[in-house]
Amino acid sequence: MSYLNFPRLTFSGEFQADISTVNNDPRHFDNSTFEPEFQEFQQGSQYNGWWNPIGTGIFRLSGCKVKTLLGTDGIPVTDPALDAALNCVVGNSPDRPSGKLVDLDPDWQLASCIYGFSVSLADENGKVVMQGNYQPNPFRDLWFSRAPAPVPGDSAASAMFQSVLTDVKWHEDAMNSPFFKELIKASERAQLSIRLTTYAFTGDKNDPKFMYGKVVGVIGPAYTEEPNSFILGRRFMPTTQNAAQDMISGNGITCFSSIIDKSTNTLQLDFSNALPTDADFRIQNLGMLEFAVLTNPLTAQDTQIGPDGYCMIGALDCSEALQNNLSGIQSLAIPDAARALIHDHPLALIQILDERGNASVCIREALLGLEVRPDQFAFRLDPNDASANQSETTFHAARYGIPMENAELEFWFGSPVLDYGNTPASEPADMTPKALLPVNNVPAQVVKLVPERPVTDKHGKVKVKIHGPRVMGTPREYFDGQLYIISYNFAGKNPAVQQTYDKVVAVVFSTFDAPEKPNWADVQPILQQYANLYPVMSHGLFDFSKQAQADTNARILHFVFNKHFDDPDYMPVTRDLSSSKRKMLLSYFAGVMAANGQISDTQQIYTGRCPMGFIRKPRPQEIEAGLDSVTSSKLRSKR
Amino acid sequence: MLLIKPEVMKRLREAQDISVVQDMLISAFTLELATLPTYFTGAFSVKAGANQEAWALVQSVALEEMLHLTLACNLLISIGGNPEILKTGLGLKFPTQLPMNVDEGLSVSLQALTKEHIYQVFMGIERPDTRTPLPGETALHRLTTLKIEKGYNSIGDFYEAILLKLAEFQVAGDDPFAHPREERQVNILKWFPPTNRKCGNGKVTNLASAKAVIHTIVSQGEGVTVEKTPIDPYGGLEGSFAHFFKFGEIFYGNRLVENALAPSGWSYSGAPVALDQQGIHNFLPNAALSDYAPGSGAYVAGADFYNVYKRLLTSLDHVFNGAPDQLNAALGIMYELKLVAQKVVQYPANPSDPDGLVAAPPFMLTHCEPA
Repeated sequence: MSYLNFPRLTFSGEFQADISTVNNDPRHFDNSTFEPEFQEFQQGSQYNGWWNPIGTGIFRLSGCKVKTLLGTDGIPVTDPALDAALNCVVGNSPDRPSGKLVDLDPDWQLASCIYGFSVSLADENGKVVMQGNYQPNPFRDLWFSRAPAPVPGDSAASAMFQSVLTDVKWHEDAMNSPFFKELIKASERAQLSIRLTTYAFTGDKNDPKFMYGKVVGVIGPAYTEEPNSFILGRRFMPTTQNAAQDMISGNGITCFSSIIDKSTNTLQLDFSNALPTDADFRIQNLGMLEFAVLTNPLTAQDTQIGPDGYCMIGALDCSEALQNNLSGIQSLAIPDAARALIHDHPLALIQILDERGNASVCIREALLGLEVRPDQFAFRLDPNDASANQSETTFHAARYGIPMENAELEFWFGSPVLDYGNTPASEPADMTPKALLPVNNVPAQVVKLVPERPVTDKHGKVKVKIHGPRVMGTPREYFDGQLYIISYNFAGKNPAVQQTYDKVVAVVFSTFDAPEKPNWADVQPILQQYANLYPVMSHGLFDFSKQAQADTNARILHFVFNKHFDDPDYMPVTRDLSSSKRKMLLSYFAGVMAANGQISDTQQIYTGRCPMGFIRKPRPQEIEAGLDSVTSSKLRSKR
Repeated sequence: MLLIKPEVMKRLREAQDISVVQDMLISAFTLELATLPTYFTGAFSVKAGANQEAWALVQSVALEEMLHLTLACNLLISIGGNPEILKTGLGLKFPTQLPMNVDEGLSVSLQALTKEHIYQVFMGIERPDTRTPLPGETALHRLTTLKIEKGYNSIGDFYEAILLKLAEFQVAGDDPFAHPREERQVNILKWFPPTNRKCGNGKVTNLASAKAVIHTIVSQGEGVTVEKTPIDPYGGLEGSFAHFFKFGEIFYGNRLVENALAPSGWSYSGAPVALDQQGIHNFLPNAALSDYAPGSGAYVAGADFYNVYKRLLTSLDHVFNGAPDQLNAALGIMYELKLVAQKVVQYPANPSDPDGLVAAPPFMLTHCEPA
């Protein structure tokens, strides 16, 4: 059970993702070649700090309203008089700092993950009736071609965040809503399934909605047996790719998933992320397309078939209204004729060509209905901490949505690859960062997956452990660790067709031997790198790359570096600090606090940030000490 | 200098029930809360990297007002009251007289950190309760004269009256500290840097701790020991002058130095202190979100800011109503407030006047009184 089952509520509105872009170019991590221009906005073809160097990393929902309730019977309800849940606003935590959107690694900005994020439902009086913690999970099914030219770069991108809300708490007033009562009853273990589809992002700093985008979302029941981060079901998969490496069909549709809902005997299709939009981000009218079951499982995309080549289900609803009000999820009753075929024949979206019923296949279910995907797929492994140097994930395999027992899986480790995508040249050429391009996937044989050839059980599932090495060097020289990109699929000659970025990705931290008693020289380079990459902190709060300011603020720095990984205020926001480097920083700041005692003057705390120091009355011992100094003024006399 | 309304003092002195003292402390914490938008706005008006000393000064005062807020709330909790931080914070309107203050007294407004604003508002709030002429002044200040002529009470008098009343109840056999609910109070040692105060962890459980907490609230900021001459601008604190005099250095433009020829023994005649007006944003005064055109950059960023402010108040509300450790989250939200404020000030208040007033982070939704 997941958000595609019943009961579910849909919502739509905006999201804010104020991500910082100085760290978009891995070469900016090199302290020795860092230029002040890398902290400025992009100017024409001079990339500088790209399009949002002053980002905070904040992720939040904005102005999201509940649109439709679908109870256990699957029937949509939109009249608030029938259920007050329709007056609810979907929001963030009412009393905590905002969640953060974080890339796995600068060399893999394709698995952005939300940390420290809470989702709430508040009634029309602002009272919170439900609150849950979003379990960190990166987005999936990312593609860059959703909107046509001239929509630029990330604005044309679209992706889905699917996860569970944990520790879900309901206010007793929620019981006044028949829908909420059903949802509470249908969910297991105080968890809910949630899916956010995000697109139409504005990266233009002159737009008041800079760093905002459109979100359509859905909340439904969560069951432990189901994967948290994707729908294991009937997956439509294009077999054509465009220049941007997006899998898209001839009419611009990318992959999407669906399930057969047994309780209502309907097909539930989630194409919130899949249909192309116009330049204003409205779903395009694709004409009359029909969902059908193909009678010949080997019918290819883009081929023409006769009326006996398919069995009709129903027309595609590619309206903007479906996207906004039903979160891009269409419900189709399955006619008797289709029902006979549907469990072992592929689904497809076809275009009828003439009155005789000849049709063209626009996009169809993955060949042989094969799907294999891991629930968690993005990992951080830390050789400096044995307990953080391994992780585990569950792979799920299915054929036509039915779990596949005894399926053998295999892994392919990526070959050495340079990060071309994030290292553009600037004009003028001398403003191109001078650091060398990092190479990924080297050295080989570092990450281990166990078992090497997993086999699924009778539930179509298999647990796989991922291990980091005992020791990791610094293959990327000026920044920590290494990225490993690992492909996975069915072993044998029938692999599943996969989305472009559906890989297992692991960042392995470098081994770092921290000194017992670290001094400033030990910690400065780490702090310098963060000060370079995050001017919102180093200019907006205080420059912690300068000893005077770092030491004066030892207390708050110790505080934020000591937080739990899932805390919204965990530092660094980017979660790219190994355990040993982190321990070293904590040890350094603890040492500063112990040595200096507490700063007794609150004003010193703030002016300690000023690199010029500030004028305070010198203490007698300081005057004494200064009198013999060559620089001391001869006019100064003892008090 | 706060001049307490005579009717307030009368009501306090004649109180027969603890609920009156609770009401008084509610006004007290409201007063502390109202200073925060005042100081924050001043801090937000400083351009990045400019006027560091002035900026640090305003920030340090804001931190101490937060400490006072915490102590006032601890005291209220100890005598059975519950601080409604969210409701109070959302109801603050500017410009305003501070709570309990006489109408012809100090009015606080939300403005950029100009010399005029420093003098009128910041030095006004911090002005010590003394009849001694203060450095830079040739005659007694208007507020001091008002106080003398009308016999108004100071904030020190107000808190003194609170203590007397609590002692009175105790003697009468009705111990106001019977259920101090310590677990609901905030341990200030955990959250605030220690300064020269004598109130330990800031929790109130009896008259002695109430006295210590009140002493801390009253003695910081003003510096000058009440009714003593000559003045001591250090106010017993190590390191630097009290806030009133630090502000004075910025206003008068020179360091405060000992000067035997000056009536107070001190004068602002030392090294120059600069306040670079170019380094201050020309803010729209007393900004509300409704001042900005919907859809404009100021409005979008302003709405964001108000959302964070509301979240901060919500978090503090939980802190003082049963979850003191949530100060952890409140601290994080305070940093977020700073970062989001920086976004607001990038926009003009009015998009058709891009070189005119700058959008100030709004602490009010509208200018109207809440329903």
